[in-house]
Amino acid sequence: MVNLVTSDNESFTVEKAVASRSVLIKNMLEDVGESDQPIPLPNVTASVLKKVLEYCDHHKNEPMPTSEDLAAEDTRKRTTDIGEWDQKFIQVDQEMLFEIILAANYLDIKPLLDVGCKTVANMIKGKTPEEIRKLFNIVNDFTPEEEAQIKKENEWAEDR
Amino acid sequence: MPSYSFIQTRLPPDILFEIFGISQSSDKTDLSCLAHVCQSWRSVIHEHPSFWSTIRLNLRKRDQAAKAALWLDRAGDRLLTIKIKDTILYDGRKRDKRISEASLVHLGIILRASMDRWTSFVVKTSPSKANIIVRLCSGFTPKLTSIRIILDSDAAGPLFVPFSLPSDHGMSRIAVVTAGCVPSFWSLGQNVTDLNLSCPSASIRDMFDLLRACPNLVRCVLSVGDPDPEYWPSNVQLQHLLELKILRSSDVNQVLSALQALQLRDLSVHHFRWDEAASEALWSFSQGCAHLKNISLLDESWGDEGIEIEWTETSITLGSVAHLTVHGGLAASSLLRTTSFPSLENLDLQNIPFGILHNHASLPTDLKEISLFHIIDIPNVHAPTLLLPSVTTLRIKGTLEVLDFLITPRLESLALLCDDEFEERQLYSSPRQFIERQQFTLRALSFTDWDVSDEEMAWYLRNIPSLKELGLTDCSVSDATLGTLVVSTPTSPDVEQGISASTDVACLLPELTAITLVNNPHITSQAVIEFLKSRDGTRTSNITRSPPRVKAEIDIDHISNGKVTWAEYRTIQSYGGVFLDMPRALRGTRE
Repeated sequence: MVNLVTSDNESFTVEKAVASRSVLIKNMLEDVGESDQPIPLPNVTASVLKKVLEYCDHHKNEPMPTSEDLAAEDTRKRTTDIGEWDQKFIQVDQEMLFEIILAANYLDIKPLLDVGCKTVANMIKGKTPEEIRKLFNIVNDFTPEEEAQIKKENEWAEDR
Repeated sequence: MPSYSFIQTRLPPDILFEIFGISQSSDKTDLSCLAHVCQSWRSVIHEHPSFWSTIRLNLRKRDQAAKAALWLDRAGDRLLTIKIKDTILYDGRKRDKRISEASLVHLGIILRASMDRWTSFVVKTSPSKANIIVRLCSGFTPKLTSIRIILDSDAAGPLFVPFSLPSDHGMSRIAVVTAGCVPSFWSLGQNVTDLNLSCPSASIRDMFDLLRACPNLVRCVLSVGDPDPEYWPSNVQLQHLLELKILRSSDVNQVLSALQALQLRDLSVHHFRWDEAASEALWSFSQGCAHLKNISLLDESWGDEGIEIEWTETSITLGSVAHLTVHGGLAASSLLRTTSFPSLENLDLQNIPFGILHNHASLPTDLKEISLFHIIDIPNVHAPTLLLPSVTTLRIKGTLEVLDFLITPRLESLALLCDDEFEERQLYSSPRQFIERQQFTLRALSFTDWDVSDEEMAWYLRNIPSLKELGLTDCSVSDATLGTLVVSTPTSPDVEQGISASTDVACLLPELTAITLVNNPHITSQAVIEFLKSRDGTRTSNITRSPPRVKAEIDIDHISNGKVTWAEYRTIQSYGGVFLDMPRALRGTRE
């Protein structure tokens, strides 16, 4: 078993197979060898880690993506298809979604990062800039000069 | 001070890069749109040249030359994909506004400067616009691997494509797809390995000029329809050609008679007029292909038997052919009578006389799969005379009487189909007799378009206990058939039924693992649920072992007259049912 400690000082004891879905933790375990020492995760809160571990537990028996898999992923056409379980798993509020993405990035869990990024890509699909700003509460912070340039670029999308 | 959101302030650029990459790759999102959202998004998109390496231009939109210039600038030294389209092709509501020739020339000149980095060039527009743009792009394209030129009408003559390769360029492979025109190349033709040419009104002369310019073709699809009776082309040798498909050609003879492809593996000729000249061309062309493995000949008779051609040639043997498909009616018979295929593994015949089937099926010793559609001239005396010792898969459409002649000791899969063109009819006794008189262990059985009763079906289910796969498509059986397959839970440890307490739950088809139920109007979704529920593989206890879980493929549009609820849909899914299509009754409704 592996003991993980979150930024808000909560402790999680999980199977090694679950914790090792994170390449970061897996490497740490390999570096320190057999040890009862807790592993600190200063960038992840308890509520987010709980969710991440739920994902890791569900996928613990799947093969880890190899470097060849990841290289192939970069070259082939990527889709926004997400597995059924993953879709339900990622049905969370926006803040949790982005926290999961950040945690997956920090913990180096590529498949989870993929699920998060695909979910965001699906959310912005087919939307106008204004609709995207509204969806994510993004502030339009362009300068007047940039706005002028954007206006010009928009003309390229207009009919003759 | 505005309150900035999480996505704007806390997501690092590398994650935004990942998200935008997925957006661009999966749904072709125009990233210039995402670059208009906020500063951080804009800088991520602008700073990564890879986002700018696919340049999509629309001739219906304004100032595409300026767009191309900006994209090229931002793409840096990346390899490029150029996609030019003209939405008039896809939006019939709009009338084509004339784009000035000057604008097209301007665009062509800007693109020309980047040709050395093109990997893919796509243009979909009218012949005249394509001609202007392509003609201007004269230069070296050393990285090019794909050209697609799709015109909205057939061009009057060949379209000259002035892309070329440096003289020291190696043998790269280029795939070319054109519709509405026959391209003509300079040096580039040497590197074209894949060609898909579709231009019904193109001259066959232009087509042969193109083939001569592309001597290294490996795969070739030709759909060129305009024969020229005055033109007899000199021979064209395609030494590397492995796959040749000729579609909708009104004169196969003219095309095949001039082609030589000694290494050819796959020959397909589809939708052609099968006459004496076609038979002769196919006969002599095939003789020159010592490595032919697959032959597929589908004429345009669509089920007409036609008239057998009075034609005699020396018999030939095509010893390398393993897969043969001939849908040709009597017109094909002359060719089949003079050709033998001793190494066949897969035979698919339609509208062919029984005598020819007999000859071709009885010779090969490795024949494993046979599909027979509307076999004609079946003898009146039905007696098992055709031994097929290796056949494991048999599909019969229409004329089931053929079964009376077959002996198939190793058969594993039997599919019985009726043709839509024929009236649905009661199953003949032939399949039952066929099954009764043989010792094979059938694993898969399917019925399509047959008016079969529950009683008749029950006979098959009782007498073929070895079945693992059952298919029912457009059949008249009802819930009663599925009912006979429901696994019942024994009330006591099976002692009453005389079955050992340590053995299986009693049911028909105990080895069934897959069922296909498509458009059977008398099978309701409730019956599907009951059946799947009883076969979900979870009934194992200390004293009984249940049959395996059954995987079901279902199209429920006509089940229960299309009535199915969301609850039933989800329940079927939870028991392993896979819907081939969303039921019509649920489309547009909310769960």
